[in-house]
Amino acid sequence: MILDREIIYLAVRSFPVAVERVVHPELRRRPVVVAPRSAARSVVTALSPEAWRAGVRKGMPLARALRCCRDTIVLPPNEPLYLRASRAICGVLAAYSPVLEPSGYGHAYLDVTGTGRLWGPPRDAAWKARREIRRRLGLEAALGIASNKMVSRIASEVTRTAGLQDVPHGDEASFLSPLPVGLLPGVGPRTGERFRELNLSVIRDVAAMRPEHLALAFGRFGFLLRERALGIDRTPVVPARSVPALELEKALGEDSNDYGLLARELAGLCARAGERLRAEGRRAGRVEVRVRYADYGEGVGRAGMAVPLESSAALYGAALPLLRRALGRRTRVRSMRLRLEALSAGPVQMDLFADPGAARRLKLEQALDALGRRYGRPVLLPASLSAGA
Amino acid sequence: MFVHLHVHSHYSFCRGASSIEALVDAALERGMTELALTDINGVYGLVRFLQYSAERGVRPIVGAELRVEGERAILLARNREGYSLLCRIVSGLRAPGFRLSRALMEERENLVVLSDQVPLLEALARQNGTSGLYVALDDPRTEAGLVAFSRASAVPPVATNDVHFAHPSDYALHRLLRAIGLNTSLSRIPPGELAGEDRWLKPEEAMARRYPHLDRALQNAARIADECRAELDMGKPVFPGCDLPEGADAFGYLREECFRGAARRYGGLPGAVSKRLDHELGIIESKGFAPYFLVVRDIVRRSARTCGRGSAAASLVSYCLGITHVDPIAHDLFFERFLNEGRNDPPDIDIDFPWDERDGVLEDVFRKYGSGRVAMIANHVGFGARAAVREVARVYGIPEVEIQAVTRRIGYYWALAHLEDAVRHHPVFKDMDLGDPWPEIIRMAVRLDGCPRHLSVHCGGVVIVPDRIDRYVPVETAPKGVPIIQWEKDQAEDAGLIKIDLLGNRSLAVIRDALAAVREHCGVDIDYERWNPTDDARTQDLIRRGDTLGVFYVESPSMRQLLQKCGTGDFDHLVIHSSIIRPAANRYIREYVRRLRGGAWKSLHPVLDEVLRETYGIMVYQEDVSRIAMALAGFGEADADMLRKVLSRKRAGKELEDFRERFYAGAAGGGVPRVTVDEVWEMILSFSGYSFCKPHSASYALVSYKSCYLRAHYPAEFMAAVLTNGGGYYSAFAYVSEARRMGLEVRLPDVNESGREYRGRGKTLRVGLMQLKGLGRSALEAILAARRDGPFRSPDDFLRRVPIDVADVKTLVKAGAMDGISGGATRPEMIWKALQQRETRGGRRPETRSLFEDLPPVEIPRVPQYSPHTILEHELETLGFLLSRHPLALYARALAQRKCVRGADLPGYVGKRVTTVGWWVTGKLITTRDDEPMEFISFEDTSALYETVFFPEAYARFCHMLNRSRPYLLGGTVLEEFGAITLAVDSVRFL
Repeated sequence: MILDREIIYLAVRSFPVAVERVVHPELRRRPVVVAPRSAARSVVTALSPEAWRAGVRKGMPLARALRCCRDTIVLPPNEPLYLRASRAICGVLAAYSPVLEPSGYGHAYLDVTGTGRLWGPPRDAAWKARREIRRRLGLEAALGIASNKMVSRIASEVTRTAGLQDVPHGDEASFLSPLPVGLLPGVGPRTGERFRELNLSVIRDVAAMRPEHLALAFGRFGFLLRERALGIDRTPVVPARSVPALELEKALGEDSNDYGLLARELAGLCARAGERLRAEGRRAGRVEVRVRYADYGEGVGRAGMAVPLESSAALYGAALPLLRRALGRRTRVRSMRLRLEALSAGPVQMDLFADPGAARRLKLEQALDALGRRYGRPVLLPASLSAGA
Repeated sequence: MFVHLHVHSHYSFCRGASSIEALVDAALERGMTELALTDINGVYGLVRFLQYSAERGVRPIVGAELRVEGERAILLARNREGYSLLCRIVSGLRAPGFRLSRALMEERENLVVLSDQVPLLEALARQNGTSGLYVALDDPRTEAGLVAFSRASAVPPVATNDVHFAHPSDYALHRLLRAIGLNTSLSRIPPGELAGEDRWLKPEEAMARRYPHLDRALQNAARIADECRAELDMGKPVFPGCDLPEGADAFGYLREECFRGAARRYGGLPGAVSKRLDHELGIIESKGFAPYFLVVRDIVRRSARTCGRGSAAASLVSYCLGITHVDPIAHDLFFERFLNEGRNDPPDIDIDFPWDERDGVLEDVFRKYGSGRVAMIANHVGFGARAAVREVARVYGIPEVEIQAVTRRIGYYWALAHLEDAVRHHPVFKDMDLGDPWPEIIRMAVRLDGCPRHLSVHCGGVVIVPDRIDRYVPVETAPKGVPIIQWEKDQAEDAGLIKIDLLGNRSLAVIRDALAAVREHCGVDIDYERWNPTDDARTQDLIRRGDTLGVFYVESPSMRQLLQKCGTGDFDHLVIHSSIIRPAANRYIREYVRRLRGGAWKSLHPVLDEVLRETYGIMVYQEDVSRIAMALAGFGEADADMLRKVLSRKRAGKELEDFRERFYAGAAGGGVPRVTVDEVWEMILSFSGYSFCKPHSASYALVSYKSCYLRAHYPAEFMAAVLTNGGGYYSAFAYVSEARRMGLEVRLPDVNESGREYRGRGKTLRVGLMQLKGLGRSALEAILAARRDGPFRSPDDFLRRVPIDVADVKTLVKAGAMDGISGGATRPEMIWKALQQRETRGGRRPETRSLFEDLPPVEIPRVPQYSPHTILEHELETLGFLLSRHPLALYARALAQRKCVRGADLPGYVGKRVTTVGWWVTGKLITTRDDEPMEFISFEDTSALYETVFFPEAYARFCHMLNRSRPYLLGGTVLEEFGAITLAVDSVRFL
C-alpha cells in the first residue's frame, strides 16, 4: 500500500533575531535588527517585527534603519550561533522522523509519513514538535502540514498567529485557490508581471485555466505552474547529504579592497586550514576561494589540485591565484571563505619532480603544529602572518 | 643648464597629475627657464602651455610622447615644419597598421627623436643617420644596456625624468588617476602602469646627482632644448577657403550676393540699406573676412529654417545673405557690435538648425569640404563634482548603492573645488553620516578639479581651413565617427582657428512641424523667411501674460514670471527680457521691472545715460560691459572687448582681478566717485558666466515670437509639435497638463489614429506612438506600414497584418492603443490573442513548443477587464505619466477632507496664509548672496501651474522630502510682485 505523504514544514520567522532573543532575553519586545557592524555602511539582514512596524525593511542601509527607529538595537550577524540553533531544531525534529531536509537557517521539511502509530496524526506530531522547540529552545515556529512540500511551505507562510496550518488531503487546490499567484514557487517578479498582464491574480485563476492556455503564455513551464496551482508537488523530502569539506571563513574587521591585506587574510585562513588538515591526516584535492563584497555580491575562484595538498604554504600558493580570480570587482570585500573539498586520507601518489623545498616546509609546519598542540596556542608564526606584517 | 624634455601634464589623461600652470611654475621655482611639454599622443594643452609660459617668461619646447603598438618615442619640434609633421604623425597614429618607426623613417628632419627602445633607434639610425636621434635615459633598470648601445651606435644619450607631476606630494594623485584610468583599486595597479615616486620635476642638482657618471647626457638635454625653437604664430586667424564661380574673387562675389539679398529682403534698395551695406562690406574687405561669410552662407542654405544667433545678427550682410533673420536696421542693431576696425579677433557666427536636421547638415559640410579640411572642436571633459566623487569612491571600493546615495545629493553645478565645504554645510547632507573613508574620498576628489579626463565632441563647433587641418593641430576620430581636433573651444580660438557653431535647436523643429500641420489642416502656407509676427495682437497678449509654456526661450518659470511682472508684449521689450535673465542678475531684474513699471530712477553717471538709454539705465546686454568700460574707465576698444570675454570664462580669477584694478584706476582718473565705480563694477560682475548681446537676443526673440504665434493661433498643432520634438524645459507630463488647461482634449494613443508623432487638430491632441515606452522602433514602423493598406478592424486583423512581438502588443494594449479596435474584447483578452497568434505563426522556439502544437488553435479564455487601478498603473508604465486623468484626481477623497486653495485662485489670497495641493513640475536651485541654497519650484494642481519659493530656511527643512512622484500639501504665504504670484512655502506635508 502506498501511503499518502504527510509533510511538515517548519519555519522560524526572523530566525537570527529570534535566536538572539533566546540568548539575550532582554531583547524581547524591542526593535532589533541584524546587520554587520562595520560602521554606517552595512545593510539590515534580519529584523524583529517591532522594527518592521517602525518602517525598517530587510536590505535597508543601517543608517536609514536607525533613522526610522532610533532605539533599534543592532546586532552583528552571528553565524555560528545560527548554525547551532538550526542544528538544535533539527535535533528536535529528527526524533519525529529520520526524513528531514533542512532548508536554510531555521527552516526544514519533515516527512512524517507512516509515523501515525508512534506520534498520532501529523497535526499532533507537529504540535508536539512545536511545543518541544518552544520548551527546549525558546523559539516560536510556524508550521505547515500538507501532503507535499510545496503546500506545506505555503501553509506555513500563510499561518499568521495560530502557528500551525493543516491542509487536509484533497483540499490542496481549494486551500491555495484564494492566495496570490506570487506564493507559487517559480513565480518571481517577472513571471508575476506576466500573470498580472493576463489578469490572473490569484491561484484560483491559474488553476481554472486549461493547460494549453498556460502553455501559450509560459511554454512547458505552464504545465508545471498549473500543477502547482492545483496543489500538486511530487518532490521528495531529501535528507541533507553531508559533503566532506573543510570550510573556514574570515570576516574582515573593516571592509577593504587592499589586495595586500586580503592576501594576508587568505594566508591566515590557509594556515588554519592546513593545521586542521594535518591534524586530521587529510589532504585537499580541490580549493575554493569565495569573497563576499560589501554590497553582498560574491566572487569565486576554484580549482582542482593535481596533487592533494596538506601544507599551509602549498594551500596558499594554490589559493592566491584563486583570490585574484575571485576579485573580479574593485568593491571592498567584507568577508572571505576558504573551502577545501575532495578531502582524502591515506597515502598519495608522490610527485616525481616535486620541489624538495616543499617537503621541508611541510616538516616545518608539522613541527609548528606540534609546538602549538603542546602549548595550546600557536607559539611560532610565519612573519608574514604576524600582526605587524 | 639641464632642461626637462620629457614632461607630462594632466593632458596625459589619467596619468599626469599636474596642470600646465603648476609645471611651469615649478620649473621657475627650480630656476629653469626652459621646459618641454610632451603629453602622450597629443598636444591637447599646447596653446595654454604657450600662453602661460610666455606670461611667466619660460621658453616652451613643443613636443609629444608617442606610444603606439609597443613603440615609444618622444618627438620634439625643431621649428614650424617640425610641428606640422608632429601634428600629422599624431593624427595618423590611430589608423590601423600605423607603425611609428615607419612614419619616422619617412620623414623626421625637423624633429628631434628621443627613445629608450633600441630596435626603434637602430632602425632610424640605419635609415637616415643619427642626426636628431637620442637615447632617452630615465630608468635605472635599463640604463646600462642603453648606455652600452649609445656607445656602440654613436646615438648620443640624453637624461630625462619622465616627469608625471610637479611636486613629490602629487604622487598620491598620480596613483589615484592611474587607478581611475585602469578601472582598478590602488593596490592592484599593475607595476608597469605606475610612474615611480621620483617622477617629479626635479631641480638640476637632483638630476646631476642622479647622473653623476653621465654629464654628457645632462648637457645633451640643454643642447636639444636649444635646437628646438618652433615659433608657432598662434592667434593669426586661419580663414576657411570657399568655392567661387569661375573668375570671381571672394569679395566681389560676396558683394554681389549681398545686394541681391538686399533686393529680396527689402523689395528694392533703399538708400540707408545700400549705405550700410557699403560700410559693412568695407570693413569685411579690409579684414579679409569675405570667404568666411560665403562659407557660412553656403552652410545655412542647407536647411530651410535656421536662426543665426550671436553678434552676427547685428550685421546687414548676414541678414541679406539669409544667415540671420532680424532686420538690423529696423531694430537698431549696430554693426560695430559684430565687427569693427579696432577688433582683431575673428567674427563668430553661430547658427541654429532644427535639432533633427543638424547632423545631416554636418555630414553635408564634411562631404563638401572634404574630411582633411574640416573637423569638429573637442570638449575636454573633466571631472564634475559628482563624477569625481563617484570615480574616487569606486577606486576605494565603495559599493555602488552607497556611492549613489552620496552623489545624488551633489548638485549638477556644484564646484568641485568647494565640495568639502558643501558636504559639511549643505542641508541635503544634513541627515547623512559620512564616516570613514568618505572624508578622504572627498578630499581626493577635490584634487581632481581641473583634471581633463578624455575628449568628447563639442556640441556644434566646426573648423574649416583652406588647406589641411592637421598642419595646425592633430586630429582624432571621435567614437561617433567624426574627426575632432585635440583642442577645445578656447584653445582653438586662441590659436586662430575660426569656429562656426552649427547647433541643434528643438524649437526650430517645433515651428517646422507645426507649420506643416497648419498647412495640412488649415491650408495656410506661411513663408518662414518673410514671416514677421511681431505685431500680432494675440501673440503679444500671450507674451504679456506670460502664457508661454512651450514657447521658445521664454517658457521657463522665471521668464514667465518676468513677463507677467513687466506686462509688455512688444518685440523690443522681449529682446531686453531675453537678455536680462542671467544667473547673476536677479537684483537688477527687480530694479528693471520697477523702472519699467514707472518707478523713479536716476542714472548712476551721466556717461551711462546714452549707453543705457533703451534699457532704463540697467546694463542688460553683453556689449554694455565693453561700452561702459570705454566710456567710464577709458578702456581701449580691444581691452574693453577682452573684459567682456574674460567675464564669460569659467576660470577668470586672476585676469578679472587685473581688469578690476584697471577699471577702478581708469574710472578714478576720469573723476568718477568711488561709490559709483563700486556700483557699476558690481553690475558688470552680474555678467559673469553667460550673458547675451543684443543682436543675439533679437534673433532669439524673433524665434520666440514665431513659436508664440503658433501657440496663439494653432494651439493643437503647436503643442503636438512641442511634444513630438521632446519638449523643452518641462517634461511631457507638464506639456500634456498645459494642453488640457488650454482646452485641448488629450486622447490616448490609438493604432488607427496615432502617427509616430503627436497629432494636434482643432481641439484635440492625440498621443503619438513614439510616446510608448517599450514599443520597438521596428514595431512602430510595421504598424504604420501595415496601416497604409487601410485601418485595422479588429485585434485579429491587427495581429494578422502586423508582424510584431508579443511584448510590443502588450505595450500597445496596456497603453489603450488597441481599445479602438477591441470589438468588445477586454485588454487581457487581447494579450491572449497575441499569444495565440504567436503560437499559430510558430514564432516560438522549437524547444518550448507545446505538446498540443499539432492541434487546431485553442479558443482564448474569457478574462475580465483589468481593475481601474491596474489600468492607471499600465498607463503610467507605458506612457511615463498619467494621461487619462491628472494624478491628483487619484487623491480626490483625501483632498475632499482638506480645505485647499486652488492654484488658479491664488491671486485672490495675496498676503494671506493658505494651503495648496501641488504636484512637482520643475525646480531651480540657486544660492543666495550669503551662499545659502534656496529653490524655486513650480507645482501644479488640476486648475493651474503655480510658482513657489522655498527660502533657505524652508529649503533646509523640506528639501529631502520633495520628489516628482507624489502630491504634497504646501502651506505658505501668497506673495505678489508686479502682478506675479508666488507662494512662499513654510510647511510641506505628504498628502
